[in-house]
Amino acid sequence: MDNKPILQLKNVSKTLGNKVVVNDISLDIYAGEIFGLLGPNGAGKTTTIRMLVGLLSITEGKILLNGVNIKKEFEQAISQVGAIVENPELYDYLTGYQNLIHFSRMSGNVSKERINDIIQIIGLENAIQAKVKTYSLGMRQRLGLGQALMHSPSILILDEPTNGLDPSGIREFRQLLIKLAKKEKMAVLVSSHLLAEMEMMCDRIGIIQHGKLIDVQSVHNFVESEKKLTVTFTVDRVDLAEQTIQQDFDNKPFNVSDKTFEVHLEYNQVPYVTNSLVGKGIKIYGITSTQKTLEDKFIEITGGQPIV
Amino acid sequence: MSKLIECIKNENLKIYSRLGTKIMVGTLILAVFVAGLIHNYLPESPASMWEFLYVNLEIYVSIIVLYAVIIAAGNIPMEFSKGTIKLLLIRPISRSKVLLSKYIATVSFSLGMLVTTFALSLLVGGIFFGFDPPSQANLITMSGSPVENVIPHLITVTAFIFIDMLMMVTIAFMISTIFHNSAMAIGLVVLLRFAGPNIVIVLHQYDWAKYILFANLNLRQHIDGTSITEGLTLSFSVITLAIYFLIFVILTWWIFNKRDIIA
Repeated sequence: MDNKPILQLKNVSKTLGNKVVVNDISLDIYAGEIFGLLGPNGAGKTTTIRMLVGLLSITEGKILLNGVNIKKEFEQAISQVGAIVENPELYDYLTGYQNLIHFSRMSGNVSKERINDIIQIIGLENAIQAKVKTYSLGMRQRLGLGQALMHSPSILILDEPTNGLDPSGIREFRQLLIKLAKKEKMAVLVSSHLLAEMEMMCDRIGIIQHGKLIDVQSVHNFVESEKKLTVTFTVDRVDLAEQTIQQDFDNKPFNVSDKTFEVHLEYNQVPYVTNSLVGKGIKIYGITSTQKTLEDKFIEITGGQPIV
Repeated sequence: MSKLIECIKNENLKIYSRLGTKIMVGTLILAVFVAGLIHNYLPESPASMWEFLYVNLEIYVSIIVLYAVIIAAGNIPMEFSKGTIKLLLIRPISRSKVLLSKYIATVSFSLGMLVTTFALSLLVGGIFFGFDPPSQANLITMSGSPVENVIPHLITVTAFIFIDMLMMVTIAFMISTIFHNSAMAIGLVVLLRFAGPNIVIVLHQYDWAKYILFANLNLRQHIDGTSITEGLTLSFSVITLAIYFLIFVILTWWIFNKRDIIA
């Protein structure tokens, strides 16, 4: 990761009527980073994204794209950005190709070769001459991505990007995003309500609730910080195992059934526990450890209220 | 500047690709041919292709202005209702230029309809009633005076109709930009167009009646001398219309530029 922030929000607030929709958000997103924005509906995710791309005015604070103020020098700032805001809504009475041509004309510096390359990347070679109204949601999503990438932006902003993609499409999409961020040093901002998705894709995740950015954590730390594992043992003699663990490790197994039990352990305790069970002649058929999921963690952070 | 031209190309692409536009062009062409057929079988058929154009002029103008208003009123609300406005306004081009490109495309399409219909009418008239040189047009205006020179007269009439249409398109653009509702814009403009002349008739006794938009809209009244309002001259009407035009344009652009896009 680079140390140069490409996308900067400085104390950004947005008031609609007398309701504060976005409340004093400050955030730096760096080149080569995939940043996930997570929050319940109405938390201010889309409002924030709309301010980033200049669709909404900024009540307070400022937004810099590659150091350029979006409010003051809109054209220069926005030329760095490729985006899909909410759904990939394209002109359905035009063909996919006409849509790409349409948006490329507005960017100015997109060659015909570049458009053809993009069609290859988004995998729409066979459908590009068909009208968009015949497209599935997944195909629209790909075309939307095409128009966002066409002018080689340094910032990519995607609102709910995996919406409507099938599992293999999501996988491809994730790989493409990671490639764009790591190889082409793009700063990528995604919003999604799919936590598992975010976990696999993002480097850092910010949680928005009631218009406030309440937490930003790197996905890596997120998982590491949770040292206690929940380990499930499958054994032949549960009663003996329970007794052994209580005596040797002063730890109480729970969720005990006739073949399995669970126990909270630290990562480096796992081999010792296993060893002492084997020492008592207990046959072990399985050991699985589960970490606290991102979802559990998020629900914890947001005070038990569901994220989505 | 080149970006503006690219944007106008885009707007033209969108106007021409819509089914509604194709239907409009088709019905206009059909209307001219039907008019030709009807006049051919009427006991008193037009004496020349020029007369054929002039007797049908008001019908053509009504249809064309209506179509122009529909295109103008639908342009911006359609971007909002389909959500494409979000992708349109995140390009390195100012909102003013995007709006200008839409306005220019709409106005030039309307002008194209007007000129094409008139030219087609002359052609159809020529086929049915004979191609006569302009000197033998023998036209008489609504007030009864003969038209001396048909070509300059026709050009003036077309220009004045264009100004009328331009005002209608501008109002439709303004209403649809403010309310994002094309049905409302079309309805209001059509209502104003029908009610406008009647309002002028009711109010023409008052001094200030000449400042009403609709008293000035039909510039053709100055060539034919059919104006009923006191104190109206061609230059007065042109200046009044220009002031109205500026107010509409400034209001439309100002609102489009400052509005939050929440579609």
